[in-house]
Amino acid sequence: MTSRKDVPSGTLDLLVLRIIERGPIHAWGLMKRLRDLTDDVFQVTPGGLFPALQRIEEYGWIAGEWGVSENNRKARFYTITRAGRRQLAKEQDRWNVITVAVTRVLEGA
Amino acid sequence: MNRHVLRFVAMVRRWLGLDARDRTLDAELESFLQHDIEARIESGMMPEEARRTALAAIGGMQQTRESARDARAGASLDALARDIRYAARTLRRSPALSLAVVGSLAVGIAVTVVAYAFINAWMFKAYPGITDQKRLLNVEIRRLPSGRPPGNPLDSSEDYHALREGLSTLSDVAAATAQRIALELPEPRSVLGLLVSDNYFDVLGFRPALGRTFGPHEAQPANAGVAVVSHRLWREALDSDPGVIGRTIRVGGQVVQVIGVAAPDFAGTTVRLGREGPDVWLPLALRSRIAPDSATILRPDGLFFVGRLKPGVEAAAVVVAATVIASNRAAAAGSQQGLASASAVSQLDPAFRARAILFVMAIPVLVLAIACVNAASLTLARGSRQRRDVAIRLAIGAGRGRVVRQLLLESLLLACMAAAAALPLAWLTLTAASGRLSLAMPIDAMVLAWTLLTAVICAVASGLVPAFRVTAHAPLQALSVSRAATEATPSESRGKRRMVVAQIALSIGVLVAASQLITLVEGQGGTGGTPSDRLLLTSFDLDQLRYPPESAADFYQRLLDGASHLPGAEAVGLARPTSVWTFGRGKGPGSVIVWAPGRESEIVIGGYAGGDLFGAIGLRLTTGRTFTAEDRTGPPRVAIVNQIYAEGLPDRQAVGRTVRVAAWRRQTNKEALAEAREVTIVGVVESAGERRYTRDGKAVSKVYVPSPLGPEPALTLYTRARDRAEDLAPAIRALANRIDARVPIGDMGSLASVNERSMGPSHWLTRMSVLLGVIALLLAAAGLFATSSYAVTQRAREFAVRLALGADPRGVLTLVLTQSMKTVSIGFFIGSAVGLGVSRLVATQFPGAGGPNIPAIALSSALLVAVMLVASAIPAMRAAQVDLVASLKDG
Repeated sequence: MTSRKDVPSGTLDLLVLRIIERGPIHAWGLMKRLRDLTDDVFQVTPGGLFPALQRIEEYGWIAGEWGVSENNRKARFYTITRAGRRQLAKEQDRWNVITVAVTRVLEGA
Repeated sequence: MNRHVLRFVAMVRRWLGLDARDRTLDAELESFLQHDIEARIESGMMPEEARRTALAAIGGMQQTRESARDARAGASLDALARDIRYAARTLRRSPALSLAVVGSLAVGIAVTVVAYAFINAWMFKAYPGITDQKRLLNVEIRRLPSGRPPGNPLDSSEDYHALREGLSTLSDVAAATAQRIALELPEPRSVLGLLVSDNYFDVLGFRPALGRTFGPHEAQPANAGVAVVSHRLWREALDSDPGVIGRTIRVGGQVVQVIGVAAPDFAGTTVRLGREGPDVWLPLALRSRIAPDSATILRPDGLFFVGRLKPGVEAAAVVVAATVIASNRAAAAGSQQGLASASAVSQLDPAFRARAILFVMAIPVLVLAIACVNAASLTLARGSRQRRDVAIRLAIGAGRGRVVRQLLLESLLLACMAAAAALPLAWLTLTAASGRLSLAMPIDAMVLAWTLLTAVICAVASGLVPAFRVTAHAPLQALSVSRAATEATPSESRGKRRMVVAQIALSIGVLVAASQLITLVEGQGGTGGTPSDRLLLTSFDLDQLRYPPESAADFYQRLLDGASHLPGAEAVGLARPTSVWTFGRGKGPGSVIVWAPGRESEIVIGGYAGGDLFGAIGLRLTTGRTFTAEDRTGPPRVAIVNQIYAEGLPDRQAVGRTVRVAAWRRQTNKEALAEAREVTIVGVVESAGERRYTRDGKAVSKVYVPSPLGPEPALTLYTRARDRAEDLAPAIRALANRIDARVPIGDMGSLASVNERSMGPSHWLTRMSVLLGVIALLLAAAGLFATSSYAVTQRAREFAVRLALGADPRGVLTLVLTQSMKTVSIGFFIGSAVGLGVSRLVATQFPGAGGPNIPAIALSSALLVAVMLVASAIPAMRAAQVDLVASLKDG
């Protein structure tokens, strides 16, 4: 098992937006998906996730609505808004610029 | 929409309660937890274990909830709102203590608010009815014959014309002079009138309530027969007649037409605290035709100038221009140097302001300080009770700063409540006082701002020390089960006792200052042997009616004879209004220049003393004789002096000495000497008690002569009544009316009422200070009571043990009382030191105030000790009757 890491600062919004973009999802599912997708590398805790959701929702990038989950439980599902998509594109660009730059430095060194 | 706008909207929605986000968050967290538990059960955990590990994984529901909330917009404001709600809950839990803190602070704040409103109205508010007062300037020019200030004022009509034509820095400059004027409506009355240049109202930017003001053509003497009357005169004497414009009235012997009625509060720029403003305004051109006011007007010219600055011009530019004019005018008058000054028009001389603020604010600030100390000791008492709460909060990880903030917020909440309670209290006081002071004192935005600031200062002053104290204990110690641990620690009791010491010291300081101000003010005004409520003063000014001198002499002779025969009149005398007591005027129309052999000339008060003046005032003759009927025929040949004057003569020998006297009219020494008369001193009278702080409390020299030194149109009748002075007033009024129905009575009242009037506002202020001293004392007593009863409650167990072991209940009583008295006496000694300091400060600021009023301080200290004894005896008695079983079982 890989050792767990904190999510790199500033990227949590990007990851959350990207996952929500793929379809409505509730908070627990979001956390599970994050862990699954990263092979449990990123340690996302509720204490980190909920503040991010609160903030992103207040920005108007996502919208929450109560629904019923796969195992018949009440859950709050998040969907991405139009502003959210724009923000996601922006964050993705920024991330690409950074990774390219970092890769170049690492390869050139 | 911008994301910041969206966040702001979300924040506002949440505050307005439109957003159920908190409930949603709670439900969402719950749902999250359930999902997690289910997932763990699916992976093979037992339900119990699944729940436990899920809860652990979430890292504490409360913390997650808090951090989610903190991520929202305005999270710190939300936290503040929560803190305020929490503070309100805490305060509700100890209502008696909270109420005591609010009550104590409310008294302190109310007192300071009254003082602020008074200072604000007196010093910083614009005069009513004037437009843009900031651009108005009082302009003064002087000539310096000796080359040194102060010199003599340049205040004639010619000086005015020079200023009006020469001062291009001012858009206009007006001139005015005040004097008392006889009005016939038709019953005679003497009012304060203002003779003004035709542009006076325009310079002030004043609009009348009815009619119009003066125009340029009324600067011509032929057209000057017009008047503007005050709103008060219009209401009281002209029946609020809306058709008054065009009516004619007689003013100073002239018939004039009323052309305007001033707005209700308008009084020009000359009103002084506690004095009524002018009742009639007349054109300056009328001055030569209406009679001069010999009683109050000293200088023949005496104009004052008020100008309006041109836009963009500074006052300094006016001074420069006015200095040039002053120099020209000074040269014309034979002086080498001229001097000019221009000061903002305000109710108070700016130089005097700081001292006046000190005078007014000193005691209220001390009372506020006492109230704060009181509130602090009560908060400390509550703090000991609260300590467990605080310890728990600290133990579960709240930062000390956060808890201190919370406690300070509680103090702030209490202070704001106190301020809210103080405002109506202050308003009532101000409404009651504004009539006495002839000053409207509104609670305006400025006063409200100061009130708020005071509340914040109170909160910090009364909350900071207790907040640090309460949070200073180690949680373990505070949480330990033993009840003894929740009792006050020695350092805390010491802290409380120190607060009481501070309170007692401050209240003694207040009492010393108040008593000294009382001696300072009450001691002013005149007294002789006659009680001031039995001496009736009635003043007349026949010049206002242009009486020929011989008729005036005849009028006064008949008045003296008539009054002497009135039943109820014991002695009647005549003198100038200021020749017995100066009432604030040093050199004045009652002054006489005296040359004694071998001494320089000096200006003293005195002059003509008709009838039985000394008998009426109650001054005994100590040496020699009084005036005889023969002395009174022809010009004066003899004189009577007072002891103070006699003591200044060689060998203190006055009787038989010859001196030269002349009426003082601002003439030069040479001119005065030319008209001086040689008189022989035949008697010495006691010095009338007359104390003014400007004169270091010393009586002044007086010289009296048996017949007038010149024409005496304005005299005052001094009547000593057998009973109350006011009872004689109708008879004297009727007598004057019989002699000449046109003559107005200028001023009438007992010496007591004249003293009261001349010192009215100061009397009121000092009485307020004494009241404040008493309030301070009561606050201090309440503080001691609260602290000692709290200490007794805390030591109930100790007392119970003592009593159980066979201690005498009286012993417990003595123990408590001894401790309280120790506190009281320390407070008393420090207080005396504070009092002496205050007393010295007052004495340096107000020469002649004298030392502290020892009997008053002794009395108030005795009162303080008595109140303190009672305040500590009640809890002590309770301690002696402690319920043994209940107290011990509790432990």
